[in-house]
Amino acid sequence: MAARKARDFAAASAFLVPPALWIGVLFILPMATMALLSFWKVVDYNIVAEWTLANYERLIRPLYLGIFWRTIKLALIVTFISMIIGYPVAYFLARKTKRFRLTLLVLVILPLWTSYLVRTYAWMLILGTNGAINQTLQALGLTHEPVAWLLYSDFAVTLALVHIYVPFFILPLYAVLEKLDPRLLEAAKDLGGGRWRTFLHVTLPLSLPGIATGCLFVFIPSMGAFVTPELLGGARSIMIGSVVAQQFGVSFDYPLGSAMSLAILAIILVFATLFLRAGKPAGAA
Amino acid sequence: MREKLDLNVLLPAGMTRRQTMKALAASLGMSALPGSAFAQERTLNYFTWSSWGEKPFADLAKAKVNIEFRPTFFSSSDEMVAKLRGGGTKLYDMVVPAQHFVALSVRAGLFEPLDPAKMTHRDDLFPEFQNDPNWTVDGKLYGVPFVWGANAMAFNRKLTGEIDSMKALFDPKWKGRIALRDDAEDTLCMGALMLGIKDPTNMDEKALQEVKKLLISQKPLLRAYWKNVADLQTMLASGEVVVAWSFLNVIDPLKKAGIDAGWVWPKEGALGWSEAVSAVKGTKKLALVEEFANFTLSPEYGEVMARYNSYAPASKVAVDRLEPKLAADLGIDPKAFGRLTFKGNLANRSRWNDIWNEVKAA
Repeated sequence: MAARKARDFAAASAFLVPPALWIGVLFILPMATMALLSFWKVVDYNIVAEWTLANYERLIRPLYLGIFWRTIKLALIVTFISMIIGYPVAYFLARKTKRFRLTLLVLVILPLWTSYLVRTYAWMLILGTNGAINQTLQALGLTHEPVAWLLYSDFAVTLALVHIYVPFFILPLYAVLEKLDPRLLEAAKDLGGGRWRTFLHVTLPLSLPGIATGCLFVFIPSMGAFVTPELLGGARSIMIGSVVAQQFGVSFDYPLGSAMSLAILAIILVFATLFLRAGKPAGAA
Repeated sequence: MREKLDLNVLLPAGMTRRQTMKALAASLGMSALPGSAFAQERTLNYFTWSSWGEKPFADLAKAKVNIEFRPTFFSSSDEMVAKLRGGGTKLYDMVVPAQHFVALSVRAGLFEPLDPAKMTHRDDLFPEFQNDPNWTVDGKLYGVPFVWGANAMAFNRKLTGEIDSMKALFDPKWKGRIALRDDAEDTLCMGALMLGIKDPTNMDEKALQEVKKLLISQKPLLRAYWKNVADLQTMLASGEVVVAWSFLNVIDPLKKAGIDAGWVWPKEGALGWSEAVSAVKGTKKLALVEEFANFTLSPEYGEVMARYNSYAPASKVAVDRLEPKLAADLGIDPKAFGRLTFKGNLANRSRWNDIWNEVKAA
């Protein structure tokens, strides 16, 4: 009996080794390295293993706090807009169409087949002074001067990030809405609930977990975005992702960059907890 | 093992074992990397500015010294050091630093000294470059500049007319059509020149704060900060931007695209630089790097550089080969040196980076 238990344990352990290695090598090890680095310092392009809180102290100065705050605001706005656009799309896909479902799903996924960078550059062509939108506006006589704030602005960054991340909102929500038990909707109807009432009291509460997951999937990458703000952002559009990239790629300040990355991680964990708590379906344990 | 493994059974008859091993080695080499094993020996991994990786230089190197290079690009000196320091020394054989990053890179253990005796074209250079102290550290030579120039102003002449002053970068007339470089060192130095500060790279905190104030006050006029010269080129070509703090290499492609692009060292000053080929620490091809470094000093290289992308050769012999008109157009008179401010090494780079981020976040 005991021998058998031991053998089962050994077998289970053997199965656990690959995933443990995977997580250990690709996740825990880099994280631990970063945590360690964040307490060290750089002297003349050499990382010196001397304990210091200086990086965290630099982090909480108004400069970087301000950039963190800007980034959180922008990421929340991108998440909110993605929700407003993504919910109806997911709802339509899951509940209102049978015939075109596959086609439409492919259309949602299709942009993901193009490189992120190409999609960002494409927005430059659309939003620029001589871009498609400005030329159309001028041709229609709606404006005489090109509209400058379309490109190199927070508007451009928000628009491109929504475009890039909205599929990540739609897909998890679609998965939840599609599995929604039709009997519940029928019951609501039988009990005299109108379309709106059914939606507000049945569909929406039941789809909260999908909304929460979608919000997370949009919020997390938006928090770390740096290519899009760098290419489309104007003189004021600095985001924390760019500052982190700068520490590693330009300033050779791995310790400060690590401290910033961990701070981003902490912020994401806080928001993840909030989203998931808000996303708990009503009545669930 | 009881039987000796006989590779010959797998191969066409008549091939000896040595030939077999050679063929195997060659095929392995070929699958792993482009080019044959022989070509590999004369190929250098080249970490450089985009200008020096372009086709005319590759063609010339192949034709003149039978060296091929595989270029990887950086867009600022900071980036160069950060990437070499972050593991790049294992990837590259040679690199093109700017003068004020040499001592710093040597101290960080990134460069290998060169043998001065191999730099046979050194005597062809203008005297200023033959023994430029920036390139010698602790008595050892780390490069001989093949090119010099300045970071200054580019403008769209058709829209702005002639420009001779940095004031254009602060002129409300061009509101929303001005671009500055996203680079702490370069742009803070530019601001310092605008304020008449003589030795920008040695600015104290008070001066840095003044420059910061100036640049923040300029932000409402700004279209964007450019990171990559290709992005600036797009902005100038599309008319998004009409005047910018820039590198020289945006100008030629714009001219070729039919845009009347102007280039000027403003009267307030411009930021001078010289560049040379340096050997990366631990390269196994030091002799070949030295051969290539010497080749960049040759009159042929200088001539191609001047004609193809309008950069000023450090080689006097190369300049003598150019028509006087072209030489004048390039502004490659070393007498103009006096108008340039050459950047030195920053005492507190991270402070500059913070100040620059404060400007950008304001």
